[in-house]
Amino acid sequence: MSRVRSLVRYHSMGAIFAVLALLLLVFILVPVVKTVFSSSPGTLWDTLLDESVYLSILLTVLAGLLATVIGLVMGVPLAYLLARRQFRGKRVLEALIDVPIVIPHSAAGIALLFVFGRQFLLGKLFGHVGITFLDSLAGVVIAMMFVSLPFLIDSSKDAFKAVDVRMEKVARTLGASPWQTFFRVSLPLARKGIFSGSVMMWARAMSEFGAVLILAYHVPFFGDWAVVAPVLVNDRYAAYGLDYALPVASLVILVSLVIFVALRYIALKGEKE
Amino acid sequence: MLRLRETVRGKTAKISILLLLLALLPLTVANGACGSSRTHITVLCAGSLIVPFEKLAEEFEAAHPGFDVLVEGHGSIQVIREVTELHNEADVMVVADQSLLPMLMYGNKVPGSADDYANWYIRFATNRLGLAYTSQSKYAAEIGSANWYEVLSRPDVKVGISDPRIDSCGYRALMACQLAEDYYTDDAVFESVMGGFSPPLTVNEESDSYVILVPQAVNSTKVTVRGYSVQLIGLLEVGELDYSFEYESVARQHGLEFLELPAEIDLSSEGFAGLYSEVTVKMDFQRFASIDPEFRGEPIRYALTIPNNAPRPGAAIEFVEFLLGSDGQAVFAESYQPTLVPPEADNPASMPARLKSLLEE
Repeated sequence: MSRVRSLVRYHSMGAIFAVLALLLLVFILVPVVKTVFSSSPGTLWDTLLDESVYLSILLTVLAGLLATVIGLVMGVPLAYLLARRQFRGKRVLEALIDVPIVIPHSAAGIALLFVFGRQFLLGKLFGHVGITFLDSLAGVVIAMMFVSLPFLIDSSKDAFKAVDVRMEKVARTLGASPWQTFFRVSLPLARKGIFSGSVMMWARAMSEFGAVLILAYHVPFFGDWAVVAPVLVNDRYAAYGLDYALPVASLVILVSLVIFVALRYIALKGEKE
Repeated sequence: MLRLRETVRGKTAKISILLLLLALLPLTVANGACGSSRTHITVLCAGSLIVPFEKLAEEFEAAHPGFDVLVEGHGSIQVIREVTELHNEADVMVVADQSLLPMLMYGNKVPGSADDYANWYIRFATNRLGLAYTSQSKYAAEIGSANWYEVLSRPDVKVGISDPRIDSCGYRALMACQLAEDYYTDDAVFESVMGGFSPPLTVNEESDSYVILVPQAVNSTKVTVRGYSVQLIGLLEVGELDYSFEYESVARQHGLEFLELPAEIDLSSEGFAGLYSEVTVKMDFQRFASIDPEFRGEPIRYALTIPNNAPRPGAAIEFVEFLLGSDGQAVFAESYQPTLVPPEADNPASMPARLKSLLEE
């Protein structure tokens, strides 16, 4: 009797969880699917052939990639330090790194202007080597970096934490230098977490709207002008209306889906090996 | 031992947070209950009116405790799209260009109804177009109403305009530059101030009138473009821009310097309406879906309406009465927003009777 009851309890939990999960899936999938199928394949194809659309997608993918690469070079060392070293103010530092997640992104754009603007220190410094940030690729990249870095750093930090310190110590006792230990032991063991963090960072960077809009609305790109995809969707909507924004929105969703499904596949394959 | 203490501390922390949340719960519930007993009024207004309208909302609520006014600022075209395309609720709609309301709402039927979105509007405020700048702007000491276009055309001066495809301040800036050519008898003004666009902005001269054609994409190496004029203010303040075309009220509200342009070109004066009408801005592309791609130069007139599908028309009338009355006028004066006294109605026959009587006084 009690066995039956526990069986029912067991299954009722499964059933309730399944219903909740299904509701959530519907919530995520329906808007995406509806947007994608709101435009006919022909319209989508025409949209893709529109120069401003494919330039925009290219700019978004490329700027996101640049931001992620810079993030990797500078963020992974930081993540390693946070995972391995104990120092005063570490908690505060960890909290600070997550600040970009919580501040409104338009505010982030304004904050960046106060540092990278042509009147301010870093802006002047970069200005000397010919890099300006207003309406330029560099502006898109720093806006994307600012809002998406926490994803890479947090994920890399957890990955390094999961690497057994003893492995590193063994490597050191076998005569490996700190550099060798990092590149041949810690980094390979943490690569999965770093990779998925990079994917998250790239994804977040590509979807950024608010901060980019303030810093770099139109950007000179391949001898033409381009705007990032989220701005393009908004622009089309503002200038032409909903009917002309929808195909761009569906296309942007499709491209992002293809990229991230591919990346997840690569990540999963790496896990199996 | 240490661990144990930590868990105990963690537990007390958790419990205290829980207690705090529990204590806050009745507050939020009370707040929600109180909010629901007040009548909401949703006001969509042009971005350049956001400062006076926030104040209006505050004072209206203070004078009428039963109401809760929600003010949302958008570009003027966007104000209308919120209602006609996104089907969001609005009780009062306010735009910076009176011509937009008949263009986009008259004759445009509310789905599932025989009514147009709107059949009347009230002109109630004016403005003046000019140049906003700061004391840090390049050549701030020497710019004046006689040489502004020459200063703006200098290669080291950064100029901002809002997107003429979507923002009224943007297409009005183009009009002003074209009007300046006749005023200063210098036919290089437009090209030297609004230069560097690719594809270019072209001006066609047609028997005593000018048509400015705006291409599908608005990009310039010389002029910085942002969606809405209010977004240029921040860039001015951090020194990324030296000058931007703005409405006088907006520049003054933000404590910026403001260079007045001659009345013949600043689109403020009824007396020069004939002159202004010589310039038209046209969108030079086929795919302009939902708006008529032509804007004719005319004195700047802000207009408001209560859409026919407003969920709370009674409350909307109450708010409009307040806005047009002496209390509203005081708020506008404080915000440097010039008003039209008395306000004027378009198609008053369709207006609610209470508002009609207000205009007749």
